[in-house]
Amino acid sequence: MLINSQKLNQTKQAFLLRFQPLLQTQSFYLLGIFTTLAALHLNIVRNHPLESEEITFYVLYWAGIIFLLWQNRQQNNTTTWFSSLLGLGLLFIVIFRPLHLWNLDLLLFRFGPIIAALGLGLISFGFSGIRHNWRLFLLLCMMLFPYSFINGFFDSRLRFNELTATISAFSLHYLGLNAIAQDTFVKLPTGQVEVLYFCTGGILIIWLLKLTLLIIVVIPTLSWRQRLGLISSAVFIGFLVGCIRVALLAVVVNNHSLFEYWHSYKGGGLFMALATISYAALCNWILPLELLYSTEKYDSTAPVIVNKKRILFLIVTWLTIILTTIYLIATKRSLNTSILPDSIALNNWQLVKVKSGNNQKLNTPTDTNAAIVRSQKDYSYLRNDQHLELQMRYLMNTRGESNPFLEQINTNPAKDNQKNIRYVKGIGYYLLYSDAKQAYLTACINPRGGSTVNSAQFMQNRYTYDLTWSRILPWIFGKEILRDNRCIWTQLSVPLNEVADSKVYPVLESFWTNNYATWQSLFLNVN
Amino acid sequence: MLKSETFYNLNSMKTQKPEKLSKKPIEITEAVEKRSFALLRFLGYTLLIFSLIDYVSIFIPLHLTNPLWEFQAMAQMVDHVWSPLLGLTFIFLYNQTSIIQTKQVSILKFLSWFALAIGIFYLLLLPLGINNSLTLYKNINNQFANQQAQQQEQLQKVTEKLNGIKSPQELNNLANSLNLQNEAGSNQSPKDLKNRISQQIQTVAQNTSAAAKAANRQQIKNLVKDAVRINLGTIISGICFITIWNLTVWIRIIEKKY
Repeated sequence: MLINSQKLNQTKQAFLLRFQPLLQTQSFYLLGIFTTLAALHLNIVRNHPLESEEITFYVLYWAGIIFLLWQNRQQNNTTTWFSSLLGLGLLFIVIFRPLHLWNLDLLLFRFGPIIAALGLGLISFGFSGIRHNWRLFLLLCMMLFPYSFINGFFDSRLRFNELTATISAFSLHYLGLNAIAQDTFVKLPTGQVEVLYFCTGGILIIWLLKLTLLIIVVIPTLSWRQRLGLISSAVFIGFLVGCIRVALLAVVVNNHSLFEYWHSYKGGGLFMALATISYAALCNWILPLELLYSTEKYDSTAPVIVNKKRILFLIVTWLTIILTTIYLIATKRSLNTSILPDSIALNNWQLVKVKSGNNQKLNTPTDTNAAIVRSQKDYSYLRNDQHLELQMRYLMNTRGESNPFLEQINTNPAKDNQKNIRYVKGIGYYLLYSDAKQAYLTACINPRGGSTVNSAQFMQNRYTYDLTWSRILPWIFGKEILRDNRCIWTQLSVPLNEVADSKVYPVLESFWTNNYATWQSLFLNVN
Repeated sequence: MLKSETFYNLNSMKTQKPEKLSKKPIEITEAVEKRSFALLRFLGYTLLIFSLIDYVSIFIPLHLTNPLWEFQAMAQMVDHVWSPLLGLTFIFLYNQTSIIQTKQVSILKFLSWFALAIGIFYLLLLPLGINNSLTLYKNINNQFANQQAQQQEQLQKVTEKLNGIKSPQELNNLANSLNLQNEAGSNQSPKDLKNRISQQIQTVAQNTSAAAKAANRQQIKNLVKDAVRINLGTIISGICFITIWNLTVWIRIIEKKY
């Protein structure tokens, strides 16, 4: 026991001996602050409805940022008290706000971290140092950049799905199978698959390109030829693996369970791993590993020692950030997704039945742009033998298009009945249509402004009602959401009973105009 | 030789016009050698450009997974292989006095690797060629079988029709439609006529079937000839390109000194 405690003491001493000089350097505290903020940001990303699948990518980019910071730890920074305090202000304005606001406010999600990073940069490096550390800032901006528009480019401009179908059919044909490519179909004697964009290598290519960008920024000594090689190998591998995947799917299309496995995220993940590993192998060939070691010039003889006040300032900042993070995560309220009440009482109408459902994704499950139906409720009303159905779908992060009610119908009546979009002052736009049995009224209830039918009207509302000067200040201080991208898609329906639809529409319209204000107030439930 | 003579003559015309008495045997100078090799290299690049245009025209429009198109494209590729082969050979033709610019080294190095890539590409075409040959063979046989079946069916129909005919008038009509000459006039009994018609039908059927068989044999012969030519051609061209890559190893190791 005695020996043990002695040994313990010795190790403690040795540890302190190593640790004490570390405490004197600024980089230790900076690393701590950066890591804490990274943890906070990753926590936000993890709970974000749209970005949570991309968390690996965020982790990698944060790792890149911290690696760069570690490399530059010998740098001598001249900070002034002014820049430090300004940075502190910027940083805390951003992080002092409830976490659920980050998930609702896309504008904040994209630009909030940039402002915070600017503040952090001012604290850490000062005005002059921020220019030297532009790589850190660039990495952060690249992390927040919305890459999904590239998908659209690949899809519509490059006809990625046709190309993939042709190449995978050819590779099957090369292997001796009797495969034919027709437009976006790969046809085998045993069956055929249609290649949609989200089955191709487009997503793999974007993932590999993100990795490539990270490598290019983190390793500054690359030649242009190496960079070009990295980018082209990313595109090539992504495309090829996508083709292989489609070919495999075409072969197993008759075996349902196998097809389901390879088509699901599990099988797709295997292909993503395959693509990443082959990319890493190619990377290893393109950039020799010595590159990584050569950049590390460790000079232990001259540790940068900063004065006591600065260290105190950094310690206090770090502790505050840690406490804030703990407080924010501890007091986090989960997003109130069920703002639709169990019953909405309406004068003269008697509520008969309520049906509810939850979380259902629109469009295809792999579509990253799909808005998510957070909750849904159907209410049935009755007045003097007149039935009326009210269906509500609550959506977040939408741009006000793709009406969930119209998507269920194969032939889109909105296209035929463009003229049936009506406008009532003070209420907004709505669409009237009918099928064989029922007449419908449908529109999107906006948090602010009138109801809308399409994306242009929705965004118009956002710009006129949300982006006003009076709302900027509350937004800055974390009280409000600036651009409120929420929407309740509503559909009213009345059975026709063999009456002409134009005679039933007034019933729907009066019901709609009388109750719009009530329904709009549902949005306030979130706070 | 001819070129160098003219070169010499041109020189002499320019410089020594008054005295035309030089009747010495002509000696090839170093400069002449240099120029002729340069000409060959120039020709090599031209051939490469021509073959590039050829290959592009072969591949446009692309009908991948169509066996016939692939087979024909491969045939064309084998037919055109001499131009890149000669082009590459000419480009790498250097003699002792030649000087290679530093810029050229990277181009030559690229072309050397390019030869390897093309060689592998040609070798990879081999399984595809064999596959397509077999598919085409099957297609020809299927087509032949279909044709035979159709003819058999037609024959069946005509025979049935013949058996069903009762009146001599109709029989005569049928004989006329089949271009049977009624040699003995109308005094032939209907039964004889019937026999003659059926005989005639049999011989026609036999003739057409024999012709179809001969045509089928001819098709298969052509196909086998082409298949052997193309598949052997891909192997040989692949090996040629790889040999070019192998023999131009000097340019690939030169680079390291720079």
